[in-house]
Amino acid sequence: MHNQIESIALIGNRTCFFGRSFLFFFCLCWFSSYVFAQTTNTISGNFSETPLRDIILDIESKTDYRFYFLDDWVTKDTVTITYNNELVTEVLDRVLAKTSLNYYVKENENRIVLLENTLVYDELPKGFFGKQDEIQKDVSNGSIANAPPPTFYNNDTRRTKKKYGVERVGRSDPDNLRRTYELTGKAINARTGEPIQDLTIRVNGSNVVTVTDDSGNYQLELASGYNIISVRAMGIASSEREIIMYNDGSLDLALEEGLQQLEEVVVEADAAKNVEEAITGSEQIDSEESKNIPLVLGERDILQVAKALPGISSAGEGATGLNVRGGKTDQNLVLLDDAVIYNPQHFFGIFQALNPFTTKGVDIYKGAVPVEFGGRLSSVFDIRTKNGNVEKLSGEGSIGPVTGNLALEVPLEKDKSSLVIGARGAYADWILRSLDEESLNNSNASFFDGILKYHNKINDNNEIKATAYYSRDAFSITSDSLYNYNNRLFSVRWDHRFNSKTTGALVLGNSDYGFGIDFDGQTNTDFNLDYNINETELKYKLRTAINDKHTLNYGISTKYYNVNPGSIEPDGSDSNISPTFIDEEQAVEGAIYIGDEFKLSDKLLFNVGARYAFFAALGSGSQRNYQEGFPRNESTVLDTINYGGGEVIETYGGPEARVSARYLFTPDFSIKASFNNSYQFLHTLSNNTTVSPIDTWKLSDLNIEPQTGYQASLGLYKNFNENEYEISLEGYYKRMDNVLDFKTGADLFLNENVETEVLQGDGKAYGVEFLLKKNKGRLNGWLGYTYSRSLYRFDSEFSEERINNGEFFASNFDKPHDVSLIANYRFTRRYSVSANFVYQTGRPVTYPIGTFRLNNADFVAFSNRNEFRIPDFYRLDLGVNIEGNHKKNKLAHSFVTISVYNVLGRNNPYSVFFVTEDGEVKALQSSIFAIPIPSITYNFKF
Amino acid sequence: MKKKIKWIGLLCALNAFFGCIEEFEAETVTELQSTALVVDARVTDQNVQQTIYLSRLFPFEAADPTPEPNAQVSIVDDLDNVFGFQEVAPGRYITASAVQFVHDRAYRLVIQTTDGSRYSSEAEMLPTVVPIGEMKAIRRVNSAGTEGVAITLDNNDATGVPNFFRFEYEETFKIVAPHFNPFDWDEVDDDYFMNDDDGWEVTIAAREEPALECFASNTSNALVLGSTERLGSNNLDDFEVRFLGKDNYAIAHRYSILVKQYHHSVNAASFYESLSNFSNVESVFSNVQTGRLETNIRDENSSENIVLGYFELSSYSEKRMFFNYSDLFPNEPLPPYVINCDPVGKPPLYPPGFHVTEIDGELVLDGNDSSPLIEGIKAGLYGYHAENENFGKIDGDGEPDRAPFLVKSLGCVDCRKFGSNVKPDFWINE
Repeated sequence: MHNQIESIALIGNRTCFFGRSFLFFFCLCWFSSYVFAQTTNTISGNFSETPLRDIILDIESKTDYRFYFLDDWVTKDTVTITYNNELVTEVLDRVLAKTSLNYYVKENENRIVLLENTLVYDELPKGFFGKQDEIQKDVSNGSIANAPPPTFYNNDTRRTKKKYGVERVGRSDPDNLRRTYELTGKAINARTGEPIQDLTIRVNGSNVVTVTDDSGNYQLELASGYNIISVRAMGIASSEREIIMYNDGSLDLALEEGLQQLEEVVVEADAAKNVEEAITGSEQIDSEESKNIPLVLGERDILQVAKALPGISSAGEGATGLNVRGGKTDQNLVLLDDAVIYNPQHFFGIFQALNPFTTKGVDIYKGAVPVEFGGRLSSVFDIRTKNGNVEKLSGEGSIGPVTGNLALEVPLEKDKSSLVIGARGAYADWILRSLDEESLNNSNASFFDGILKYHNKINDNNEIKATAYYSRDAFSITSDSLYNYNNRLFSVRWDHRFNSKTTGALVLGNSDYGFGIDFDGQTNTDFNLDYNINETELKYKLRTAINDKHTLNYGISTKYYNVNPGSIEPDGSDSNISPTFIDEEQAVEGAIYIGDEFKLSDKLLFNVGARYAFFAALGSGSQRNYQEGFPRNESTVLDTINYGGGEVIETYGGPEARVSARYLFTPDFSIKASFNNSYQFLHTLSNNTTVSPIDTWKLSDLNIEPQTGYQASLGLYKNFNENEYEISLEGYYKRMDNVLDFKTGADLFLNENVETEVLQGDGKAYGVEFLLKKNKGRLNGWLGYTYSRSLYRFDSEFSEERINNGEFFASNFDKPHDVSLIANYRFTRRYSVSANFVYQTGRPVTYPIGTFRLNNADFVAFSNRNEFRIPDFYRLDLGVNIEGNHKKNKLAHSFVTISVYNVLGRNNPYSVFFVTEDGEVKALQSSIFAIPIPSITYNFKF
Repeated sequence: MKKKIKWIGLLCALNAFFGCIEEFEAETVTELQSTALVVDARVTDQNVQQTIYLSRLFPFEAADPTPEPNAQVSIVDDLDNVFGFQEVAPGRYITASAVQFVHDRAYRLVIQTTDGSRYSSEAEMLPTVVPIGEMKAIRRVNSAGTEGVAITLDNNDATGVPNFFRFEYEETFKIVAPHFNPFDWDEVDDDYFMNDDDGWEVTIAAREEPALECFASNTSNALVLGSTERLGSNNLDDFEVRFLGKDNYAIAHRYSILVKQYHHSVNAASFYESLSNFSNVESVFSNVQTGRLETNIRDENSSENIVLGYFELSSYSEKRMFFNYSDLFPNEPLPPYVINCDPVGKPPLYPPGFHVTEIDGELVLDGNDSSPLIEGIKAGLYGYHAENENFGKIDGDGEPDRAPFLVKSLGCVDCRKFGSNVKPDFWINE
């Protein structure tokens, strides 16, 4: 038998020289067999239900041919056949027609070889021959460009293993017989020809496993003789191969992608990312995935979803801004396509100011912030807009009770460039107007946001993206004043691949935030009041994969700020208001950084980075100098310094460390630790307990120092059941210095000497976050629990500059216990239900210590800040999601969400007030959504 | 200057959408700071007996503050002249005689309480005198969309620094009883067993006291603050001190307001501004961070001891004005009366089922039987309106009509329910 097999291996060996194409090989085989057969004798015979083996032996006896085969192949089948003076090849064609055997005629040697591997190929449709394996020996691999890792895992319903032939590798060398031989080769995607990396090759019945490298190459030690290997990779149909090893050799595996209609595309780019990456405290929210989560008024809102994750919260339902791990709301760097968005929320934080259909998702870094980001102490929200569809015009839209959304994806150049256009508006005005309340007839509350994104993949090495965004909120409750605020941003990004190892991105961004109050009343005090901040950033970042062990991230960024801290101008000629313009502020902020993802071993991964942050407050402007050792006020001003245009007022800066390490106990269980520090050079000024739309941003200057922060975290991460479940436990401790607060009752806006009202103190925050996530299956969602504290201290030798006697006190958003449950259960492809439950400790409020009488009226007296808590918060939201049917040729695909927000009707107090009315104190409590709020939102997609 | 967003109305109306503010019964949750002294010291440059009130912080559950008695209160100037105060009522301290504080002196308030604590204020000086100029009553619609009358004033200052003012007012207005009756209750016999033994009895007689026109007064209890901080000049111009809605009965006939202007320091203004911010709802979404108010009075021995109130030294100016409803709203319907006067009552003299039982030879009234008419008159609820012509007649139910008189709410008949029938000295007719 050995001889027979050897000859086949030789054939394979030889034919390879004709070309890489297996099609060619096969055509050649068939062709040659016919050609040679025509010169041979004819034979006759008559068999009924005769074992195949007998027929073959009969033919062998009647001709000069010797047949080569394995007995196994020819014993199971019986054949009934009659042939008369027919060519051997014709006879064989008929004899073997219903078997799985093929034959090969070696005419000059008078041999006929049977092969048992033809069935699969016979069944392949035309054009699929290109997917067959190639048996090679000593052929060097051509360099095939690095392909990006597969991003989508096709949840292929076709799990049937494709039957491939037995592969024979190597030529047996009697002088070099071993127990094992080495098999090398390359895995390629049969359709695209690209190498498949991270393909797992497992030898059945043993523990031998190998994984292909970036170029798809693999190396495997196999026992001599018969082996079965199974291959598995994301996006690749799993299959098994039978291999017979005779010697060292190579076998390239051409593997198919899943070809069937996909039931669902699950984003699983890095299924075990949470376990594998080095950095701590990172989260990812996909806008599309979040569509099932019931939220208020049926609005899709990734920022609200973010609040359901451990460590991210806000002061309350109607509070703008997010508090991440005990940090203040101004400590989050929120980026939309690389440019800062100062206020990403509409209407007091109830809605996100992002179009859900153009938004791809958000990466949130609340622990170890990647070295490329800086300038805020607590977190980074890196929000990305979708790239448009480059094949056909498509769109998505929704109609809800309060807003309408529309997004269009317009291909400009097929497979290259596209435009995304999104617009969104609120039509809440009709609600206000339709209410039978005279005083509200003049009130309105509306918002709008629009986005435009251009994307052009020029070639494999260059990609351009540009985004323009605008949002505006306007509201007025009384007829005489109109409040408005708006965000405007623009960014261009050029991604460039220098070579297979280095990629870079050049980003230019400009962001603008402003608000205004237009007062037009009965008296002669009409005015327009404005605030504005504008920043322009240029950033150049590079990534170089030096080798398997080191990947460098490095870059430089610089920012220019221009702030109008406030101005008031008379509105109309008869206004008595005197125009006031607070001096504009200017500054530059820069950073240079380098980081290394350093893979010490398969288990130990470091992410080490250093960043130098720099800030310079620039003139023109004037700054006051205060007497040291005295409280800052009018009477302690030493002098006022005037600075010319561009003159440096003060510089700040320092090194920042970003260090993370991960140790893998097992491939799905890791421990991580990280430490980082950062500087923040701009601050919000607010004398409210929660963020108000008219809070201003202030740059550090001579008298206001930058905030600094340190955070250390440690966590354990474990995935179960092939990443179906993720579980993590992470603890952190954070220190903040020079955080801002204000003297009680401070007047901050239009204050030329804000430093006299500002207090700078320190904060500490710590907590433990637990998260259990179920990513797949009919039931999915997560359960999060956080225990955390957020404490601040403002101490001074002067009582007027102290809060709570200079001791640590709980921040407005200190909510020690926080439980979030988000669950979605899919009944069928079309119907699912979802639930969102939140429980939080009530937030601290400043509560009166009693009442006092002054000038004929009673008032309440407050003493220490935040010593009392409002009752605990809990809320349950439920939603039913109905997908339209999945018929292919429908005009639009629809999706309807019916949800009830606050199903339990819990009247969660948001705040308490003590109002003096008619000289008497009235205690009031407010709540934002006190009753169940049903809504229906219709979404469509085409 | 600061415009408040009045969200409350909106939010309540929008209940289904955006929450609501509701009242709750506040409780004192912290240990009450017994040491928190409340100093109500609003001292002016008027040549009058100055008054200072001292009290203690009191819990929500209490109706009135506890006065702080037996303290030694004085104002000391920078030449160490001492102006002593004497306690004339618990917690109320006044100077023995009229005192005229002057403009170029600095004054400190010093208080020694019976617990041994000594409090003193920072030295304060009187700001310049800024007399109230023209005052006007202007018909307008306010920012909440209500039509009414705005009382505005101008003032005049020649100095170059921003001025800060606090306003108080006393308003006085004429009340005319819409159902005035020249007759009034006379004899109201509520003792069934009185000697005359004629049972319950009510009679009427001609009125002795005038009760058609009265004068009522209100004293302001809201903080009205004004400043020229953002204005082109240092004058207040058309500053609204008071707004009265068109349906406020106070302006129904003739109205007078005495506006008291206190010109105080920027620090005093900041104190009152904070106090005002802390006691108003600005918006349901963002409320001001409340906390301990910075004041200019301190416990000399403890920086942690809270003192509430402010030693406010101000330059005073006042002005009175009058206007008639018809001046501003000619030929327009009057605002509704203080109370609804449409209902006419027929309280029975004897309640249905009234009877007397003889027990051991004594006549005894059953249970709580009493005369609804007499009880109402005694409680000040009923004013005489007319004789009941059907008194004693049998009505459709076979019951006799038990009410001898028709009545109205007392205030509809007798204006003294809401004011005094004595014309104030300052009152000028038309």
